Amino acid sequence: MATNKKTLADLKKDMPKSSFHEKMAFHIENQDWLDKSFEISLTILDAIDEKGWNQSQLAEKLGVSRQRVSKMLKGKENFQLSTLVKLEEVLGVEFVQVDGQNFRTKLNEYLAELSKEIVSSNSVTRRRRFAFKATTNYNTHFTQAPHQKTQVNEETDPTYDLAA
Amino acid sequence: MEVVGIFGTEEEILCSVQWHDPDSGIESGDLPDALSQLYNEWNDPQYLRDFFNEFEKDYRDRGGNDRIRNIVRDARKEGLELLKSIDELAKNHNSEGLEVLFTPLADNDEAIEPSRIKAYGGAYKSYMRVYAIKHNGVYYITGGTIKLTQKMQGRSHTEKELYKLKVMREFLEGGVELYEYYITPEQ
Repeated sequence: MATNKKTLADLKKDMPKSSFHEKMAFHIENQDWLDKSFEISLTILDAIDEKGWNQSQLAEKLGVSRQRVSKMLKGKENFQLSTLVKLEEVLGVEFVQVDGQNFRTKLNEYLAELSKEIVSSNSVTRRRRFAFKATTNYNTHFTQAPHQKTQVNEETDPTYDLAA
Repeated sequence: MEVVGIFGTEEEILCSVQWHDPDSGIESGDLPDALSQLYNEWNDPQYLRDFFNEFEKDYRDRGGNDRIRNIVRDARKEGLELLKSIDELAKNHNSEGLEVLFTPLADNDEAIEPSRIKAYGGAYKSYMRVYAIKHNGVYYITGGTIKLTQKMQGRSHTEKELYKLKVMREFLEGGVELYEYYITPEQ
């Protein structure tokens, strides 16, 4: 190794410029969509964790390369609508909300949450708890006809429409 | 860890150190400087998520009770606010502002030049940190991290930051030799 001793002055003479200011300027200019991109990446990470998948498995389901998935998870991806919709299908999550859908999604989430509370509640009879335990026994989807009640047959497994 | 370069900004009151870990297998030319590295890490959902999953106990021990997702979101927000402040102050040649933002790392650092300094995230009890050495009015950013424990000793990520401060201070004191842009701290 050459013993060419460098000093601070030597270093500063040909000092390269940091790209930090440019990075921050880009971030400030694009903050709104970068914030959303970060949230999308977090949702993907949470969803694949929940499913017990790794990034390669997600790549396979999406029909893209592992590198492509890795880029999506960096929080700086400017996602295309087609990519988001594909991710929604594969992961069972929702990224894109068009006018009117938001309320229904929230209500459906609330109904699902409510059914969980009913299952864990002590003040509800065993028969009713059983009805809410099996997801096939009730409909947590908000419908346009909320007053329509589902008939309950006490002799067989009862069915409840939470929206009713 | 070795210093492989010092990156300047146009204002000449802020510099950012480029480090290289010879054991990493990564070519030194591909590495970002410390400030750019912090921007990358604090914007990376996977990095932050992995970090807080690994050190969740440290977070809980300091009284934190939020979900990992919210912790990650807050860490990014605070970290970016801190970097934005540094960026703004440097661009405006605001030495006084930098002096307020950066405080001595320890009580005995105040009287020593070059001095070890740190900057906090803006929120109450923030754990986001940027570290630097101040020398002749210039801030040499050595790195930063998420500090969840009271002391820097005892966690590899904070110990690494301490070591980087030591190497940079020794270099600025003239106590280490720089061969072909490599610094080896005196043993």
